[in-house]
Amino acid sequence: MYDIYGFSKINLKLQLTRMKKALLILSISFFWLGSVLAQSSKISGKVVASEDGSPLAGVSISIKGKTSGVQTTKEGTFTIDAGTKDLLVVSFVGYQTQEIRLGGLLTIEVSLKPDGAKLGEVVVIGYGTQSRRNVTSAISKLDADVLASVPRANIGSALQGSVSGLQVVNSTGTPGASPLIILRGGASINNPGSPLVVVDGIIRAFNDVSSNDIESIELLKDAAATAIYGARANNGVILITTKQGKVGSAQISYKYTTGFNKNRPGYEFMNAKDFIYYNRLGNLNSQRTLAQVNATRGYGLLTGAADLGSFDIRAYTPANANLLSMGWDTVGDPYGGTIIFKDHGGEMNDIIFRNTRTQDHFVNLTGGNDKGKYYASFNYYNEDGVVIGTNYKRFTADINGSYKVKPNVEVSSSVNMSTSSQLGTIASESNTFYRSLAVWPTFNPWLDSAKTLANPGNSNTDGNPVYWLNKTKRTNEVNRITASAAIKWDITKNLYLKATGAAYLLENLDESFTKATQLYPNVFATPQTYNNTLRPSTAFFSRSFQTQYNAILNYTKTFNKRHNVNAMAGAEFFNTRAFDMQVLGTNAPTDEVSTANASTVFAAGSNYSTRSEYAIASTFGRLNYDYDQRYLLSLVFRRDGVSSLSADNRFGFFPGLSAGWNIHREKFFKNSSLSNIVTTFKPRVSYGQNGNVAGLGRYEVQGAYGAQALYNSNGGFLYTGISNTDLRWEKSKTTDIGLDLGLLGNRVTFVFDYFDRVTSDLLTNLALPSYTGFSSVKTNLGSYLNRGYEFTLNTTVLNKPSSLRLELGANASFVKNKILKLPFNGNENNRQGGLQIYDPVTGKVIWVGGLQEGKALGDIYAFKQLSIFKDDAEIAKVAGNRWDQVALIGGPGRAGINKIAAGDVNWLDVDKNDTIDSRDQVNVGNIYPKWTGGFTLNLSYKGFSLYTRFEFATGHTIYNDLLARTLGNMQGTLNYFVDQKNAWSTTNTNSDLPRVYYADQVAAPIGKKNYTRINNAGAILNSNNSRMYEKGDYFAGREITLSYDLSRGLLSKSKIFTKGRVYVSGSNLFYVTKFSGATPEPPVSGGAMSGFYNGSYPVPKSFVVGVEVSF
Amino acid sequence: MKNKINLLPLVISMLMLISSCTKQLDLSPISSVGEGNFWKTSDQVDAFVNGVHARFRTHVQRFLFLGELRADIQGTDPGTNSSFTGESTAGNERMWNNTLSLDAAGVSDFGGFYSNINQLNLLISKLNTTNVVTPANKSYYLGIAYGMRAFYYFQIYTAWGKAIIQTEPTSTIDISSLAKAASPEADVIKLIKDDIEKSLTNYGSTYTYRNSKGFWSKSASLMLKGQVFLWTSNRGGGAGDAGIAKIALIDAQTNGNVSLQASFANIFATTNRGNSEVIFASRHLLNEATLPIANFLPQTNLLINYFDSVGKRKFDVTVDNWGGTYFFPMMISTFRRFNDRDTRKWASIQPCYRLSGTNYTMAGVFVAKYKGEQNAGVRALTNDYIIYRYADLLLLLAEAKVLLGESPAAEINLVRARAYGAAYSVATDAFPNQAIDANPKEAILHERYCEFILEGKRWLDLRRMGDNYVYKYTNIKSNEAYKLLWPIDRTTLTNNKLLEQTPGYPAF
Repeated sequence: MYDIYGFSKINLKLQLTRMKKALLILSISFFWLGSVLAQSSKISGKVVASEDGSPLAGVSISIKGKTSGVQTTKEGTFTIDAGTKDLLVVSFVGYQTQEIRLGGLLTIEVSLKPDGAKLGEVVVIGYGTQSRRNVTSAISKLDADVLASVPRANIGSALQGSVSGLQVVNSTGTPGASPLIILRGGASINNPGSPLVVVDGIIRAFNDVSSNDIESIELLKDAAATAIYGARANNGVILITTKQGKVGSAQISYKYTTGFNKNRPGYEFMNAKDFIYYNRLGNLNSQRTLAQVNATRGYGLLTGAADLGSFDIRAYTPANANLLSMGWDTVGDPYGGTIIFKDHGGEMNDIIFRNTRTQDHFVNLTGGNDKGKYYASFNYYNEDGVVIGTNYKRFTADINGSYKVKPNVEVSSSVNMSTSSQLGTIASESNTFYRSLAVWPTFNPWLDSAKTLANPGNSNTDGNPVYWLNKTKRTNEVNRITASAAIKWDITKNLYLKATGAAYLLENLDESFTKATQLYPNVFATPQTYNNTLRPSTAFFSRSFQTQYNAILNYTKTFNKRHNVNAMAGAEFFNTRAFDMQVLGTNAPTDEVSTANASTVFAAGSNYSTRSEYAIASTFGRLNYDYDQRYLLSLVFRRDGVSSLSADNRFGFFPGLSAGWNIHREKFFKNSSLSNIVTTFKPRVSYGQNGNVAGLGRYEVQGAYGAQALYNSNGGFLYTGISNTDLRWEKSKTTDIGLDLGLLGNRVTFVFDYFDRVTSDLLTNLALPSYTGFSSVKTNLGSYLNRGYEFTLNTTVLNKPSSLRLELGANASFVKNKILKLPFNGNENNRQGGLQIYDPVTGKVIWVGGLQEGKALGDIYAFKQLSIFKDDAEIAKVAGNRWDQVALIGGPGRAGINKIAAGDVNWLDVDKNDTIDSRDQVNVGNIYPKWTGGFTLNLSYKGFSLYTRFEFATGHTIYNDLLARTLGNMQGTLNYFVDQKNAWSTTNTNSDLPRVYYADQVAAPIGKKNYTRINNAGAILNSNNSRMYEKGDYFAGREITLSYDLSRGLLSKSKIFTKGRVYVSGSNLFYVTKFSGATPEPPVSGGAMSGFYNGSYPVPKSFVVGVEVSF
Repeated sequence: MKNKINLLPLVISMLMLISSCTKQLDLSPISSVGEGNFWKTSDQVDAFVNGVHARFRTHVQRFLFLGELRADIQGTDPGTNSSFTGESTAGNERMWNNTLSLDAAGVSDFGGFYSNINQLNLLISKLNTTNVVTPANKSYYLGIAYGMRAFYYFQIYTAWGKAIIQTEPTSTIDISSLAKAASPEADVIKLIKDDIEKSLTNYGSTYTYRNSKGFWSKSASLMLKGQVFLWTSNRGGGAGDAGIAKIALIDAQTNGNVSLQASFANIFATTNRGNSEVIFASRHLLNEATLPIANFLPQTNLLINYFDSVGKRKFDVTVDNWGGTYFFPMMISTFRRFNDRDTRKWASIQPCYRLSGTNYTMAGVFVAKYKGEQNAGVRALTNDYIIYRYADLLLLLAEAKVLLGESPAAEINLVRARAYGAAYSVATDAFPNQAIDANPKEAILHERYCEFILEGKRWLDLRRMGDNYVYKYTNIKSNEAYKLLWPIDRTTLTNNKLLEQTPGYPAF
């Protein structure tokens, strides 16, 4: 029975055994809680800050190897029971931990030195950890403050601007959506790919991981760091470590955050009066007949019952003049006469957008002693999107524990579960932001004056979304369960073996049902009718079950006191099985049953199940060596075998090498005067290789015969994929040169990296000539270079523990890309795609854009708008003999029917041949940001602290299709942005916007292809009007949080609460940008930056208050 | 020391774990058929032949565009520049305005036809080597494959003239020699004629139809042969080719078991698929596929503001739920070229009127030939797209006879008699009694015009009869002869370095 679910019974049993074990371990850990006793004398002491001698409160004092611990009081004093041989550990956030051998002392004073925390922290490096002091490769760690306050539906947003080397782009503001994440410009031409995400050793998406459960996030950037993940690490690795139990007394924490979200305003639309006037003027300019205009929806004067009932627009007559007293108004018709109307402008905006709430409850329990540790948490998150109908909801539970069954054997296990639901907009996002918002302002979205009955309009994009939401029933459920168990056996003091088994189950259940629907004419028919009673009911279910088994041996030893060696070797087997199915039934007889059992028709093709499987077998190892912590060396390798390649090319070997020199630990440096200023000086260099096969389908190399749509009730098959057993790994070779610098006792730390990454054997799609019968073929014949710089700076400007503390952080990354090699296709530079323009420098026609060897990705070319022709005299002078081959219009000297008119665009004639054709285009920018980064500023005074975080991206250009499409009125009847009022007109001849026409993309005389050019209302990035390309450079205010630490104030005397914090926070507060749309972030389409903005759902502004207590 | 001894078995067992895993890396596809596992059984071959017809169906819209859109049927009415319901033509006007260019090529990538030509090449090559199908099926399928391939190449030939000839299946891609030039027109037409002969040879004496005429058949190959030889007859082949065409058409007429439907409208009914008149039709069943003509139909909610003067009724939202977006309007003049007594007028075209007082004034027209069927309140356009039917055979035969100096009266009058039905009067309607019959070629052109609205014939008819007919009936002037062919789109040119733009069209 279980076999249909994609894993064998044996695996299932194994799984169950593991879960049982985990529970056993956990229960044992609880039992051991607090059973440790200490016996010795009382030690008292005081802890002060080394900078100003002021007392430090809340410092942890513990005895090494034991669980008991205390904290210093407000005056910095403490008392603790300890024996003479005990080692006292004094630790405090932001300071270097000190270990003090008591040796009979009964009172001590400890002066803590501020830690160059950033250079002394422990970083997770994959199958292990390492001190930052010894790290020789490029690894970034997320500042813990980023996760402290703002509630997050998706933790991807925390990475935006906070880690150098990552570009993080919000592609949509739908709650719960994951942003696009690209490391160092991406490693591929066709498919940028996102970093591999590893959560506690399990490869999975970070979606639905609660930010409250996260202990740390590390980013492995260069190949020396990522080679340990070999085949999948080409695009970098994000390592997420969740919170584990800690030695110490049991602690319960509760955190509650609530707030509200506000829409980020976009373009302003015209009111009904302007809408009618400008649309009818555009029609007049387009030489449309009055009959045609009046036959048009929205601004026409249709007189059917449905139109009169839905559109408040009429020809003005004395008979309906009484409407003026009922809120109606009149407008002069450019065709002559007067029109009477009622203004519904802005109503749709108010229906679509709403202010919403976010709620985040988090409770956790943690504790442990020297034998066992445990951690358990529960999180509930709920956020309504600012666009009607959108929502994200999530429950997560996390439980983990470890226990030492023998002094040298520790078992641990963890289970993490989440169930979430994400609902998007009812129409597509681009249609919501293009069509629904631009709906005719003469359209009354309500059928009754009480506004309870919504008018369906002409479709779910051209009508009241309330109606369509009521007619649609949608549910979404994503369940994720990770379970793992591990055993760690300390074979000797220096050697341990750790074996881990982990499973990850991901299920997605998506259901939707649409009831019988009407459109506005059905509503006003007598009797009322339905437009559509298909009643489609869809149930989609997908499941993937992933297992990972690994074992590692780790050996650590110091020889002759100075040779420090850490060696690790391991093996891993990874398998994932996917199962998808869909039931799509139609023609149900009733609205009352939403599931497909009431459906009567189940069409082939819409009903299916599919399966696939994927496996990787690996061995890996790492050797870290340092001599006296001065000379650092790290060697890494991984050998991966993957099922999606043919047996001959299946295995890949990925090595990494890095070295560093802690110059500040050299005697000559310590003796020099420079050491007074420079505390840390570590140059490092790394080189490595890693790979990627993510762009390859699971069975793609084997070729395929795929099922076709039914023909005359019979199934068909065709040859749908050519087998290509020669395909291999993509390989990236990365060189990274870095410097870790610490100044003034590491109060100022600076990390710099230069990287050069060449990805070769790229799995590139080569567009094929169509005679082959295939549109493209996957090859290994591309090579691509990314080169860039990364800077991270952290400074403690002021550090008076007793009063003012000010920290500044900044990071910036610069990246440039270049295509080195493309599959040979006989073209110059083996060009694929692109276009030909006239190059005024050489006087020749050259190929630009597309993909070309030696060129960058993402350059955009367009027709340059020099100006708008003011009048006929200017046209005669400038363009008397011009022939616009794109719009098929000409100057007065050209014989032909349609003429360039005043108000049309004066295009740059690059080759000065009096013909405007596709050669007359110029570069207008590039779609990719060059510089990205962020700043933080952290100011604290006593219990108060102010945390601010900013992010920026510069260098990218965006084609604003939403603007062109709306101002060019490509749909023909929808509303304009108010900007149209500033366009050229007979009374406003000085404008940079062309004259209004009915539909810009249609052949003259209707349209003149002023707002758009070649793209003809399609989604084409190049070859449009330069005026519609805008710089996307921005500076964003991501977070401002003001918090007050109660434990340093009100709660300091309380016996119940150990920690307390209240805060207010605002996130995504503003963008400083010249881009005219709602969000200047690079537009994303199909998992890659597209440069093409068609109205995305912007991330809302959020304001929250939160409280956090521990007891 | 003891611990160090323990190490060895550990390392060994770890290595064993990995080596045992490599076998688990040999995974085969589950939800598709891997390349090595196809062509093993007869039902796989049957499924492939079915697949070829399913892919053929995806090209129906291109056949319609190539066959009709640049002629004198679609367009905006004089004095207007959008459809009567107010919908814009959205750039498609370039086709009937004949202002195509490499960025607005009308039909790009040679219609995508090579995606099926390659499948046909594979089918031919596998059928010639396999023995899993019965000899009867093998011949029938080879008849289909060669016939359909000839049909595709004829589409490319009539649209672009020269064509890249590919007759072998693509099994591997040699990326070092991807560029391939188009062959001269003479080579292309030779391939077409050779393929037709191979098709006919394979069919032998098998005239039976399969899949209710949803499959290519011997009669379809004969129809294509007639069409091709009439084309070449008008281009230097003279009476010889016309004679070959005539023999092929009479062969299909005699042995193809086809006859005219009594009612013109009934030919296209979804309840009358594969009827006696049909020779080959691309099948569109409910929940399988719909005829891609929604853009030839007005929006329901705009249409309901107009009237049908014949029924004296206003269009109704549930009855006249055509559900289109009218990007390809039909001209009122198209409707007016029909005789009122011609039943084809009312079966092919729906006129729409404005009513003021009691006066009906013509607003516009749209195609009414393909009515589809009602499905849960939605009109599903599930009419078959007829590639060849008996009326087409009769009129091609009439054309052959004219070229041979014989009388076309019998064939033309069969078509006219059915079209006029009860109103048919030999004295006024029969050939040669209509004014237009003075020129038999014009008579046939007009008859075909009325018969095949939206069946993708008109442009090809004008081209076949002679380029002067194109200049006479379309907006192309005789000094723009290059426009008789279609331009090649930019992407297609970019992907194949040896391909050249159709002469006459701007390269930029």
